[in-house]
Amino acid sequence: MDGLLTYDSVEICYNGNPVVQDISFSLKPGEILGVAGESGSGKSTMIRAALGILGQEGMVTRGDIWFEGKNLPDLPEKEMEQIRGARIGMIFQDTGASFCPIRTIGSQLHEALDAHEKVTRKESDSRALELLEKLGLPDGRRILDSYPFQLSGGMNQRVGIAAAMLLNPVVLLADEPTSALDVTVQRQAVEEMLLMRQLYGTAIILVTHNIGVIEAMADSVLVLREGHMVEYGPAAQVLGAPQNAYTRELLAAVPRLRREQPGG
Amino acid sequence: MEERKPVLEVKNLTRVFRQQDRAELAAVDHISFQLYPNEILGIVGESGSGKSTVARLVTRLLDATEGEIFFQGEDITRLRGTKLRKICRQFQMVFQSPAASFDPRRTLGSGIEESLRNIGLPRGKRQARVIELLEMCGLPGTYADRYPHQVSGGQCQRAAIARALATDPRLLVCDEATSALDVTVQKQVMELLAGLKEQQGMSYLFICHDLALVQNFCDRVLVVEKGKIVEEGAAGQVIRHPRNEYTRQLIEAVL
Repeated sequence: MDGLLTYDSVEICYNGNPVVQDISFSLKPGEILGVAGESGSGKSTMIRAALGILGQEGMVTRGDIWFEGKNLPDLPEKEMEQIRGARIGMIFQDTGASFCPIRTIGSQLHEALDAHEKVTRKESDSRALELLEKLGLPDGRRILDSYPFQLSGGMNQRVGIAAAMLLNPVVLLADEPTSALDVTVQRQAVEEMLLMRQLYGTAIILVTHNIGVIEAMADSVLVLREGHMVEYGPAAQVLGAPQNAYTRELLAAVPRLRREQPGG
Repeated sequence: MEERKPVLEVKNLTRVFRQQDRAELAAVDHISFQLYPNEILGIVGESGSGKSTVARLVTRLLDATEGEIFFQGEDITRLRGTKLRKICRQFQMVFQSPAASFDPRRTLGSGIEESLRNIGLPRGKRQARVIELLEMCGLPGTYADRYPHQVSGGQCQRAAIARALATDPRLLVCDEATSALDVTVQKQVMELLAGLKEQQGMSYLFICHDLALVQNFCDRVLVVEKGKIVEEGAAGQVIRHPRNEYTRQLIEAVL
């Protein structure tokens, strides 16, 4: 199979109760897969399974998750540690909250890098600065010297996206990466992720309830409802001509902005 | 056309926050507007623009530094004690996080009943009224016995709306009331709000960062930037033909 990350009939249970069932899809290098669905539909659970971060109660109970020839749920923790962050990165909704509040961004980025490849603080700083500049974040030095609370929510989130990219993962799992942001900042974060894909060929699984963000980014779309895949296919097809009644309902519920087309 | 008196009128409303070691911040800076009966007035702007502070000022959860607030013609800017409590019944708020606005250790019914007790409804009549309010908001009466964590976010928000209606208010201030909800649930809650407005003849102050929702739901809209109104007008007009640069940026950023 040419898939980079492939889910094959995956079932995930919490305390023995299945919350996600029969999920199959295949992510190609550089592809952006949008996962849409309502809260509780199993979106986050589905991607967390790939990283083995389901917690004590959660477990992949059926099917395989293939990544670079390995079935992730079967891997021992030691091997997962090599993959987590370095090969498969992750961004959460509130990056500000995932940073430690009492240490500077620069020191935390160093810690993340150092866990995978021994680097000095100086090296990590220069790599971080280079990446921040490439991603168009202004004043990288100030960012590295700042504590998370000294940056705005939007800036924290953009730094979080950059931080996930520092180890140059081939797959990035993004769980509601723009949902806490204002529209103007949301747009910047979306553009940052698209630029990352362009620069590094990163494949992205984008989990969000925001259909607008999926429309702006995704090549393919998977719609989840109550733990089941109800539709999966190319973005234009799923969003433009949805086959499933629930997908249609979901799309119809999105408030649409009616505006004058710029220049027309 | 018959001259209508505003339900809510705000003149030069200002709130300054004084911070240690930092410059004073005028979160709301000389804002004036009117809200008419049966009207839905939207307030849009980015986080930190002062939208929520406006909501907290007009509902008297926060004191104004300057300016006046008139509710049905009465100056309520500095009302205190019993007088304030009495007028407060007539405006209620619905917050963003439904679960956080209920006491986690008490049932939804007991949360709603508290409002009924506050307005002096006799004990014997409260239970029936709680059920009536829940049903008005599309929930089965049996939900009165549920705890906030036993219902979904949308159901909890319906209960919060039911609680707001308990005092029979004239004005409902919704501060990002549907932002935490899924789109399908958001749609249902918006339909509920639209229906209640007609039934109860209420006015809404609708604070929201989702421009599309504001365009679909509100009659008029105020665009707020750094505590100041930079544009106002009919919602459709402002969003289709923004005159202000900041409004234009907000609209262009929508995906």
